[in-house]
Parts: sequence; C-alpha cells; structure tokens
Amino acid sequence: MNILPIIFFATVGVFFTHLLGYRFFRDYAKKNPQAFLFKICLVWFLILLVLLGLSLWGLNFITLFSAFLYCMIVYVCLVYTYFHFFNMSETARRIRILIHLLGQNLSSDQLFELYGPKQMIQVRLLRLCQMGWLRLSPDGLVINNKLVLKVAQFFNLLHTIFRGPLAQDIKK
Amino acid sequence: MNIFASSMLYGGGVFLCIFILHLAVWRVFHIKREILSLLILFILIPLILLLVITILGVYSISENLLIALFYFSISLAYIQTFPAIKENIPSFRIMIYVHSSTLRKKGNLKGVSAKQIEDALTDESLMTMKIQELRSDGLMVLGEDGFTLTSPGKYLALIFYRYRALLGVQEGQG
Repeated sequence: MNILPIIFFATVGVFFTHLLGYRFFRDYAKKNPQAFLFKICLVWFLILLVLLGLSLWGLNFITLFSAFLYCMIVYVCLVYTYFHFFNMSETARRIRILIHLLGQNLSSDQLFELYGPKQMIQVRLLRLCQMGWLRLSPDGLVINNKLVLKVAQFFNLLHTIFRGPLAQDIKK
Repeated sequence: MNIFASSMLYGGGVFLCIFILHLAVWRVFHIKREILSLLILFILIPLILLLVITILGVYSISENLLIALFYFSISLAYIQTFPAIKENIPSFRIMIYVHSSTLRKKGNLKGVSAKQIEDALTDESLMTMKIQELRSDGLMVLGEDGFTLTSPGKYLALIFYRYRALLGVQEGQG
C-alpha cells in the first residue's frame, strides 16, 4: 500500500516541475512545449521506478512485477491526462473559443474574424514545423517525424471506425 | 493472486464493462451533452458503485483504493482521448495530407507548399463544428447579442485561463 504515496508524489511532481519549469526556463519550454512536458514526465518516471524499487525491495518476483506494472499503468494514465489537459490549453479550438467569449458576447462573424479556419491551419503549420513534425525542404514541406505520422494514421483509422473516413473531409 | 494483480483485473474489468456500455449507448442514442454524459458514465456511476461496495465491505479499504485508482486513471485517460478519436484533429489532417501528397510525387520527391495545404484543408467546418459542439454541450448559447458562455462554459474557460496564468503564459494559440 505504500506505493500510493509514491504514485501521488511522482504525479504531483510532474505538475509542479512543469509549473516551475515554465517559470524558469520559459524560452526553452516555449520552443516545444509538448516535448518539454514529455521530458519532465520521463524524468519523474525514472524517479518513480527508483522509489518503487526501494520501497518494494524483498517482495517475491510475481508481486514485484504486478506492483511495477500497476504503478506504471496508473502513472502513465495520470500524466497522459495532465499532458492532454496542457495540450488542450495550448492547442484546442474549443478552449480558444471559450476564452474569447470570457466576459463578452461575440457574433459568429466576430468569432471567425478572431480565429478563422485559415488561421487555424496557419497556426498548426507553424507549430508542426517548430515541433519538428514537419520539415521545410527545398521543394516544400515534408514529414519529419514518422512516429507522429503513425499516431495520426492510427487516430484516422479509429476515426474511420467510429465516424466515417477522415479523407472525405479533405478537399481534393 | 496478489493485491496488485487483482486490482488491475477488477479495475480493468469494470472499465471494459463501462466501455462496452459506452459504445452501445453512443451507437443507439444521439448523445447531446457528450462531456457530461461521459463524466456520468465513466466517473459518477462507478463512484456510486464503489461507495456501495465499500459500505457493504466486499473488499478491504486498501483493495478498494487500488481498484479505484486503477479504474479512474484509465477512465480519465480515455475521456481525454475520446474527443480526439471522434473529431478530425487538424494537425493530424495536415500530417496525413502532407504524407499522401508527398507519396504521390515520390518520383521527384517533392514536398507540399504551405499554400497548397491551406487551400486543401481550410474549411469553415473547422470552426462551425466546434461552435456546434460547444452549443450542444451546453457551454455556450446564441442570444440576441451573439454567442455567450453558460455557467459551465464560464467555469471551463476560467479553469484554462487561470491555468495558463499559473504557467505564466498567454492563452494558447488554439
């Protein structure tokens, strides 16, 4: 049972390190905010492993294996949730619309003016290049991160299963 | 079976049951307030179930805690991922478009210009769909003076606004 405080410590550690990291290494963090948070999660994952090792030392192999697996799944899910929360604050369209509407009423035209579809694509193109997912070659933009492409294709597949092909939305 | 293995088994089992129920409900009914429905299905109902089990003393408190933590961590991750599965994430659309366009020109290995991507993917539905979702989730309404936030919408906006302030950065680019 003493693993619960360790999981709690590591998860809260991610949150506070992220807050402090943003305060003290803002320029570095802002270059690639997602990668910055990912690195923090990774560091705390290593700390979690060490603390678990120290705490569970002496248990039989099966219990030790189960405890490690349990902690890893819980930790990954919790930091993934936080990662997603941060990512939403950074990139979600709906959050940006909600924040635009804080304290004021806006018409549909005003919303489109503040944050139109063209701007959505432009902002994302810039971000994808900054994060190194796309690369500007002499002949135009090309994929630079195949792992992210695989994730995008996987989500596309899930989307196709759940709602219908994403490809239909892309104007030919 | 040790306490960790059984917690994973029970926690995972409960998640699987709720997940199947979620798929069935989402297929049969047109869900209007999706966020609220997800929270009720994945958080509120299991929480009540857990309280009942704790009161009845089916498992020890430590077992209940381990099962609950396992279940809720998976559920939270799923609730966060579901909208991404459901919608067309523009960044992923860009990645897939660039990949497929580059493949088509593989002979001379040409990439895609930013203008091409903008022309292909700029679509009013990127905005209108989000507005529609926010309205059906009850986060904003269309009044005489235009769109305005409802109380839950205001709270949600404030949570993100204050979180960004805590990080010491301006609102996200969207």
